[in-house]
Amino acid sequence: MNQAQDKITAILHTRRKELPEIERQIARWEKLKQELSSLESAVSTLRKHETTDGQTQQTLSTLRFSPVYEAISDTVASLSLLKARFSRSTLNIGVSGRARVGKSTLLQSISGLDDEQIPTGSGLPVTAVRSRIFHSVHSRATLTLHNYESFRVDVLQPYHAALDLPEAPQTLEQFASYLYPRSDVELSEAKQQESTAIPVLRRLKEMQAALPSYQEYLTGAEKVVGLDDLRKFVAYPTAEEEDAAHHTGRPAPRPYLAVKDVQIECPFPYAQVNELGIVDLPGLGELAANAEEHHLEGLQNDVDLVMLVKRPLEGMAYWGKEDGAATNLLDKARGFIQNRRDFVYLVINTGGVDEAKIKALRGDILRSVNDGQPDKHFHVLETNTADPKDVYDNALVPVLNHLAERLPVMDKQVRDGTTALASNVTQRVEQILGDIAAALVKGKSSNLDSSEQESLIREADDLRLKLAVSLSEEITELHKKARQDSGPEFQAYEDAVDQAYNNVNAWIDNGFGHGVEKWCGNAYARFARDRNSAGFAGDELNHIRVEISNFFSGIDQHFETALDALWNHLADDIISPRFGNLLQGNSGGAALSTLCHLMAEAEEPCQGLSQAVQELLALRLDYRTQLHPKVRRALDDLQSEVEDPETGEKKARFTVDLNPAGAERLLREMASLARAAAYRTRKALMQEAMVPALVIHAAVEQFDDALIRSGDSEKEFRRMARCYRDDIWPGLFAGVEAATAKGVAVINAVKAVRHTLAS
Amino acid sequence: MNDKASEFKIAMIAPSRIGKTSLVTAVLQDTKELLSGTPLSIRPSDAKTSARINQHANQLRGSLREREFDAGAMSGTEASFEFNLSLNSPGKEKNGLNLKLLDFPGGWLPNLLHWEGSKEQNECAAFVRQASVLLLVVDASLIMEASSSREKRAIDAILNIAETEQIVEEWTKERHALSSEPALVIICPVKCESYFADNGGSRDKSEELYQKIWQLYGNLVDIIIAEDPGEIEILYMPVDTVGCVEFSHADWADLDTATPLFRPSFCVRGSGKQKVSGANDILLAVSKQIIRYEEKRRQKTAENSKRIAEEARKHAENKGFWESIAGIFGETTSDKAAKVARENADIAIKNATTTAELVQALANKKFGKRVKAISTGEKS
Repeated sequence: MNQAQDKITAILHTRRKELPEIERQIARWEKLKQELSSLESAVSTLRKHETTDGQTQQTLSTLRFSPVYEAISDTVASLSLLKARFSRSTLNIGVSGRARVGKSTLLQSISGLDDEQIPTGSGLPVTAVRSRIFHSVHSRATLTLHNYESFRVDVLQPYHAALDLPEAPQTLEQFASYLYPRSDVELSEAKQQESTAIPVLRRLKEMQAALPSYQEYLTGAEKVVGLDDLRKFVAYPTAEEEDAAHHTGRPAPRPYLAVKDVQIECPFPYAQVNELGIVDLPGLGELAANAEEHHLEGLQNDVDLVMLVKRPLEGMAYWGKEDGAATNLLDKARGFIQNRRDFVYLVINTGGVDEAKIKALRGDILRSVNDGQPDKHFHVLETNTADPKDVYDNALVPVLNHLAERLPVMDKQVRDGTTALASNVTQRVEQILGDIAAALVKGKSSNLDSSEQESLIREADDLRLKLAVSLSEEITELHKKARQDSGPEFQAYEDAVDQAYNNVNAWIDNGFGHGVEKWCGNAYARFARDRNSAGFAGDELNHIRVEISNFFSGIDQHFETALDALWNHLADDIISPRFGNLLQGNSGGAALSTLCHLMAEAEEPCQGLSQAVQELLALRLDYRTQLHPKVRRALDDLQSEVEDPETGEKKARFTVDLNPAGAERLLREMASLARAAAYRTRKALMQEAMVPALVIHAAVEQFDDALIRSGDSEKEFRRMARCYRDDIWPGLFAGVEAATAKGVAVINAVKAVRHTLAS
Repeated sequence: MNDKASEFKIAMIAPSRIGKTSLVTAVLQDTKELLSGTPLSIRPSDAKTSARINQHANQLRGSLREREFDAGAMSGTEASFEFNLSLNSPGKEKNGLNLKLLDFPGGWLPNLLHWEGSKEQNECAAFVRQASVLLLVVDASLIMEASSSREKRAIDAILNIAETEQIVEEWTKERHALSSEPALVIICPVKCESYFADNGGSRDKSEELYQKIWQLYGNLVDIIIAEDPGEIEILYMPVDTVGCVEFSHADWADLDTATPLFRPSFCVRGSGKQKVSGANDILLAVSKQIIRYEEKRRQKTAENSKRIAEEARKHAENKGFWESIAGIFGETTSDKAAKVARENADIAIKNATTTAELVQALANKKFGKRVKAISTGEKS
C-alpha cells in the first residue's frame, strides 16, 4: 500500500504543476474570443465601406463567427474541468447508487463515521445532502449553507418546474406565505397524469411547512459543526420524527434543506493513503426534481473514480433498467477517459444478503454488463459494506491500486482530449483567417502604373509642404503670444489664478474651512489637552500650507482647457483638413490620437511621424510640475517657529493665552499669515504667466521639427500616402484597388488573432 | 525785514490715503530724534497741526499695540490741510524756520491745473505754484505688489501720473522764471518697509523699487529737465513712516474703471516698536536747498550784482523769501560755523544753538543711503 501512496502523491504533485499552463490556456482562449469579436467587427465595417468592391463584400459576408465562439466556449469549459480535476489536493472516490443499497454504510466503513454523521436506516431514504469526506487528523464538518437565492434556485425552482408551477417565490417571506395547490387536482391536467407529481408536491409542501426549522441557516455562509451535531444537517427526518410530526401537527425539522454542501474531516481507520476523499453522491431514483443533473455536475467536477453500489435485495437481484441508466450517466461524466472500467467500479454489497441472490446478481452483471467476459467493461468488487475490514481489503485497496496505476493514463487522456478539442477550434479559426486573407484585395501601390506612382509621390510631398507652411505660421503666432503680456490666453491664466486666490481667501475667512466657531473650539480643546498652543498651531500651519497649494493647483483646469484648445486648433484647423477623410469623425485630441495610431499601425509603419504626434500629445501643463517649484518659496513663511532677530534662536511664532480669547487671537494671526502667503503665491504665479505660452510654443516647435524635418520625414509621408491613399485623396485614384484604413484595421485584427494563436 | 520766522513751502502731490499725514508725522519724529540733546526743536506751530498729528500718532500707537495695522483705516484727507512745523531754539522763534506742508486730496489735481473749483482749491493752486519743494509721495506697495496685467495698467490712474506730470510741468515753468529761488522735487516712496533690509526687513528689493519708480516717473523727470535743465534738483527719497510693518496682501477693485482702487494690508513685525527711517532726509534736502541758495545770494551780493538781485526780488512772487532766508542767517553768516559744519555735520548738529547753525550743519550732512540724486540742480 505504501507504493500506492507514493504513486498517488506523485500524481497529485504532477497535476498541480500543470495548473499554470492550463490557466494560461484558458486566458488565451478568452483573449482569442475577444480578438475574434474585434475582427468580426472590423470585417463588418470593411464589408460596408463604400470603396470595398462587390466581390470582397460578398466573400466577407459568408464568414460565420458564431460557431467558432461556441467551440471556444466548449474548449474553455473543458479546460475548466481539467483545471478542476488537477486542482484537487486529494484523490476523490465517489460513491453512488440507488437509495438503500448501502452507500452510507460503505461510507461509514471507509471513514469510520457513524449514523450521526452518515445516517443509515431502513425504509425511507436517509441521506439528504451530498457529503465529501476527507481523511484528516481533524474531526469536524464544514457546512456550506444556502442563502435564500441559492436555495430558491437549487432546491425550490426545480420542484416548481417539475409541477409546472410559476417561478419560485423571490423572497423568504413570499415562500412562507405561498399558496401551494392543496392536492394534485389543483395541478395542471398534464401533471395530474404523472405519478411523481403527488410525492413531489408533498415534499414541496413539507419544505414550506418546515421553514421555521431551517430558515435561520439560510445565510450563505460556512458553518463548522462538530461531528456529533451533524446528522440533522445531512439526513432526512427519521421515521419516528415523521410520525411525531403527523400526530402533533407540527412539521418535522429539516435543517438539511439549508445545506448546500458538507465537507467532513476525520481520520479514516484504514486509509493508508493520506490524500483521500470520499464523495457521497445522492442516489438516483430519489424523488428530487433535478437529481440527475446535480449528480452529473458532482461527477464531472469532484471525483477521479466512482464506486457504483448495487445490493441484491429481494426483487432487485438483477441488473435493471435503472442500473443501466446510472452507468449511462457515468459515461457522460467520464468525458475523455476512454475506458469505462477505468472510471467506474461496480460494487456488490453482500452484507445481509443470501448467497443465492449474490450469485444471481453476479451472473446477471457478467452477462448484461460485461458481455459474458469478466471485467470487460467494468470491474466488479464484492464486499460487505458494513464491515470496515472487508471494505478495506476487498473494495478500497483494489480501487486505490487501480488508481495508482491508471490515474496517470486517465489524466493524460483527459488532457489529450482537451488538447484535441482546442486543436479543432484552432483549425476553424485558421480557416476563417484564411478566408479573410483571400477575400481582401490589397491595394498595393505596385499595382499603380508609373505615372500614378509619380502622382502619388507628388501628392505626398505636397501634403508635407502644406503642413510645413501652416505649422510655421502657427509657430510664429505662438512665438508672439509667448512674449507678450496680453491677449485672451494670458488674461485667462490670470483669471484662473485670481479665481484660485479668491477661493483660498474664502476658505481662510471660513475658519480654514471649518467655520470660525468650530476652528476656535478645536483650538481651545487642543490647548486644554496639550497645555500649550504650539502643537495645534504647528499642525494647522502644515495643513494651511498644503491646502493653499491644493487650491492653486485648481488652475490645472485652465491648463486642460488651454491644451484642449491647442489640440483642437492643430487637429481641426491645420492637420485634419489636409488629410481628406482619414480622420473623419474625430476632432481635437482624439483626431491626433487616431492619426498617431494610424501612422504606427500602417501596413508600412511610419514610426517617426507617429512618435512626433505621440510626443505632442504627451505634453503636460500642470501646476505641480511647472509652477509649484517656482512659487513654493512663497509658502516658506508658514512655519510655527521663527528666528528671534536679537538672539538668532528659534522661538514659537504664536504665543496666545490658553483660553477662548486666545483661540480667537490665534485664528486672526494665522489668517493674517495665510492671507499674506496666498498673496505671495498669487504674485509669484502672476509672474509666471508666460510659462504656459512658452511651453506650448516650444512643444509645437518640436512637433513641427520632428514631423517635417526629421531624416525619415519625406519617406514616411510617402508611406502614409501609399497606405491611406484613398482616405487622404478620395476619388483621386479611383479605379485602383482601395487602400483604406478599414482594410488596415482588418489586417491588424487578423495579426492580433494570429499572434494569440501562436502564443 | 519780515519779523516772522522763515517759511518754506512744500506741496505734497499724491492720491488720498497714501500716507501724507504719516509722512509729516515721520518727518517730525525723525527730526526730533536728530535734534535730541540740542537746544533746538521741531514741533507743530499751531493747534490744528498738533491735533492732526496727535490723532494720527494715537491711532498708530493703538494699532501697533494690537498688532493689527490697517494703513487704509488711518484717517485720510478729504479736504486740504496745511501742516505747520517750526524748527527753532527757544526765544529765537523769529530766527527759526517754518515748514509748511500742504496736503490736499489727489482728486483735486485737475481743478488745481485749471484754477477751477472752490476758493480752497484755488488757494491750494496758489500754494503749489509758490512752493519751493514738490514732494511726490508714492505708495511703494502699490508699485511693487501689482502683479497682474490689469493691476499694472491701473497704477497710472491710481497715482494720477498724467495729472502729476502736468502740474509738475506748470510748476517747473514757474520755477524757471524764478531761477534764483530754490526748486526741489522729491520723489518720495512711502510704505517701503517690505523692500529694504536696513530697517528690520529681511529682503532687499530696493533696486527693483527704484527701477519701477523710474519707469513710472521717468517721463516726469524728462519734463523737468526739458523745461529747466539742471536748475531743479530732483531727489529719490524712500521713507519708512512706521518701520515695524510688513506688507501682507492687497485688495484691488474697479480695475477696469477710471477710478481703480488699491487697498494694502500690513502686519506688524518684530516687537511692534515704531522705527521711522529716511524721513529726516527731507529736512536735509530742504536745508541743502536753503544753504545753496543762501550761498548764491551771497555770491551775487559779493559780485556787486545788487541790481540783478533786486530785479530777482521784484520778480519773485514770494517777495518775502529772500527776506525770510536772510532772517535765518542775518546779513552775514558765521564763516567759522560754516567751516565746522562742513567738516563734521553730526557734531555741528549737536552743537547747533541757532537755526542758522542747524541748517548749515544739516546742509552738510550726507543723505541717508537710500537717497539717490536724479538731478543735482547744478548747471553744468
